[in-house]
Amino acid sequence: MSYRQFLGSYTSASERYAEVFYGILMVTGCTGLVALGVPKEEAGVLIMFYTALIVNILWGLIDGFTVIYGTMVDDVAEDLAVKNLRADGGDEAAEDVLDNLDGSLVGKMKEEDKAEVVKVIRSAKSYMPVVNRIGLSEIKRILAIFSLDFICVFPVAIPYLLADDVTVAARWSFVIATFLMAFLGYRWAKYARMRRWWIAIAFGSFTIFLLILSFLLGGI
Amino acid sequence: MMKGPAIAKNTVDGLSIAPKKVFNFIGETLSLGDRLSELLYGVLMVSAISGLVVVVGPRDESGIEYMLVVLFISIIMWGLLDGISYALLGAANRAERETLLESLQEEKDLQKRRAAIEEDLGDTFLARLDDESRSRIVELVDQGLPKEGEKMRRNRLTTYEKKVVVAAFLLDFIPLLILVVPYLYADSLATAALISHTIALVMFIFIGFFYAKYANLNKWKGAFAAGLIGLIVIVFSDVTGLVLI
Repeated sequence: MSYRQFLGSYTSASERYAEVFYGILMVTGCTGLVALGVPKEEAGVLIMFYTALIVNILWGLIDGFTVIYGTMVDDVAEDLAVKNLRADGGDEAAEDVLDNLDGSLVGKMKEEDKAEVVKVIRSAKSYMPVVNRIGLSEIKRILAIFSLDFICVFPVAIPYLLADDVTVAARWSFVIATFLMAFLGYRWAKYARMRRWWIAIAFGSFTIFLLILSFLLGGI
Repeated sequence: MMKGPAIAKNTVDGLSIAPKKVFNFIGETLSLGDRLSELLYGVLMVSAISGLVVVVGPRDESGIEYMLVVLFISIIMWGLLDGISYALLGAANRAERETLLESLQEEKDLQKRRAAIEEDLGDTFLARLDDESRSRIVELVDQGLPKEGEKMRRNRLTTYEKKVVVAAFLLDFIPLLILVVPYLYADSLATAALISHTIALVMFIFIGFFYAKYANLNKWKGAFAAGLIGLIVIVFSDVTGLVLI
């Protein structure tokens, strides 16, 4: 299985955009802060590189685990909603169940058709509550999310591998991050059928703001 | 047996009106899993950023002021970006569903159409129903979907998604209000950071406990895992500090 197929199997396209967004943001924000206190010569550049690397390793793992745990919590909440509905729950229970289906095709149906779906759930022969555990597929999902965050370090951290001076490296890093964010915003907006250029400019502005902030605080 | 909603309701009932409204708003807008994740991110960001600032910020009396400014700016930024990305994620999912609907409207092969519907519903709890009920629902969805309609040309954030931005922002901001208190009262930056990081560690443990509790997992393992993550983040900030010093 190629890496592309692996990502496709364990993450949705919108999730991948969001993870790359967080990855770039984390590495840019944290290096911007650390730039305030490092020695400006070569030793500082290495510290910046390792900081970027460790920040995104930590963030990638935490992000992966929270996505999995968050999904598990929501799965149990869905089970509770179904259980309430099947135990003669009224309109409120039906509404809870339909809320959980709003993101699926059921959300596109008319109210009377949704009521039919509720009837089938209520009278279904059986419903198997979720059994949460961290198995192989959950670990693979965590790794997929982690890898997306981790990969984002490299384009933004390249200047720290090539430059001798922290200020120069940090400025180049911010320039790369700005273009990456703008590109990401464009692609994400295109996928979501939103205003591409508007979102590209907004995303690019985030890193420009971080750059100005770091500059004002005396970092670069 | 889950007692979550009842506990949450009682807790909210004991609050004065303004915080109660805020908690109700967050509860109505974000799912329980999302609320716990956002809280964890908030604690994580405050403790990591404050750890870095202790090291790189000024060490004289202005250190505390500097810390407060950086923390507030960073968390406001983070909260907004987090909320915006969350809302965009929702908008992208909506566009994804719209694309699927358009392809279903063009698909004439019944089998293929129903297989696509089943795949979409497979991501929901409906996958846990018995086969017969699941097939019946696929049939109902196939018959109930709009057969034709205007294609979505421009997607915009809905009112709900705008509320999500605010709710995610508030949840990121709440840990800041708790963890910033030591910086307002302590005499030195180091003492304030120590107290704030200890509180953050306790918050990590609590969030891990509740994560596991509401996911029907071992609560103490959850508390331990989240506590360990918190400890690693805080130690990482300090180690970065040691390197920098």
